[in-house]
Amino acid sequence: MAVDPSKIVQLGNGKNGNLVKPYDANDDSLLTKAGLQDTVWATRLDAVMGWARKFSLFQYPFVTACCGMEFMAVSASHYDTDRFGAALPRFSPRQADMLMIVGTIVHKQAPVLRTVYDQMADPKWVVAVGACAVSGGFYQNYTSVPGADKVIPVDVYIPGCPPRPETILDALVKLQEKIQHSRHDVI
Amino acid sequence: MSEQLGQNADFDNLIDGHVMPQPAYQGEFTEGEIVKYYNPSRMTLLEKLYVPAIIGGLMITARVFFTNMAKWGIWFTYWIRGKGKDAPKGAVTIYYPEETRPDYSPINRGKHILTMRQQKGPSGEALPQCVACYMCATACPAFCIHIVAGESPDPNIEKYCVEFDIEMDKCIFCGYCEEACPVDAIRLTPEPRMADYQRERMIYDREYLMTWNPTYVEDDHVYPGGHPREE
Repeated sequence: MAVDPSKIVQLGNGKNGNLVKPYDANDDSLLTKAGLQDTVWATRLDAVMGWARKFSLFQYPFVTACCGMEFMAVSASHYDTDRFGAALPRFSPRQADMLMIVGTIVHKQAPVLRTVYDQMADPKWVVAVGACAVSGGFYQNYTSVPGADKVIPVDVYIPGCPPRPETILDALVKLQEKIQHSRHDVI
Repeated sequence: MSEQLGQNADFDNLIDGHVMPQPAYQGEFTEGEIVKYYNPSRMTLLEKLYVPAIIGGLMITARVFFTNMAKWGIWFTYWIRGKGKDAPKGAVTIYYPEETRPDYSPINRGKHILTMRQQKGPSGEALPQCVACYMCATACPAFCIHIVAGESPDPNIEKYCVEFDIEMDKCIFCGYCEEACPVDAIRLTPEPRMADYQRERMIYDREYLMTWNPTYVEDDHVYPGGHPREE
């Protein structure tokens, strides 16, 4: 069975990972909405906010399966997510910035995941670690949710079964890049 | 107790929900005595005081800290002489985006490539080695390979893949496709950089699999994209 060609997205030149800029820094749609685009000059406080937020990612590890072992390896001293400011796992969703879905999400667990996501305070980001969290992996049956993004929005997907620590660190860097280029409302 | 539970002999030993063990010898304990199941404390007085143990733990932490700082000091003596690359580091941490770990396996299973034929097609286009036999798609436990077979433009070749899509979000990197391939058309490179922002972008098509270049490891380990098959 072939994939529907209309759903295939062209990957561009695909050089060294696929870098996207999800947010245009010159976008003044908020000012346009307020009718102030001619009188107010927007400065780049966003950049400072993004810089501060991308290096203080407090994570909530939602570990349900075997990818958690690899996740421990990433947190330990050989790879050390502390270098990216994402060291301290907060086991309360109220204190967390980044939800890491590590492992299979079954239908019985999906409401729990949704509750944890709703309890997190804004701004919050979600990383799906491993093939099961990204797409259900090879669990194509009635128990598994085909991807955690059926339940909550996901910012960065990490394939692999389990992913290598390098892949997870690469995804962390990509998430930091996304945070840097996204809008941060001060009030 | 035994009146409430009836005459069953198995329940006669129940006291407060615990099964009383049978006495091993006469007079080990008498009936009604509360048997202590937990082990007696074997801590010495020094450990019971709690503060000396805390100081001992902090001394271990301080010893590791100062040992690592001394190692970084040795590293610094190399660095000021301009030999920072040869110096032993003070920590075991691998600073990943800047440096890669030296024991990263060259046969680690990562992102896929499709190999190409040395002979170009009639109009000069690159032809994949794949003969569209569907063996990788059959062997795939995650059903993430999708092939559309077609007639090859080269008259010497019977069949080739018109489309070859791999859903990387489903792939579990087991390497069965590599094992099943009879013509060495699909390979798994050590490249680990696969994370992405959108799931739609993680479906890799044939052109991308034939042309992307691994960046992770050095040249002696790399199977570069578009590399012709070694005859």
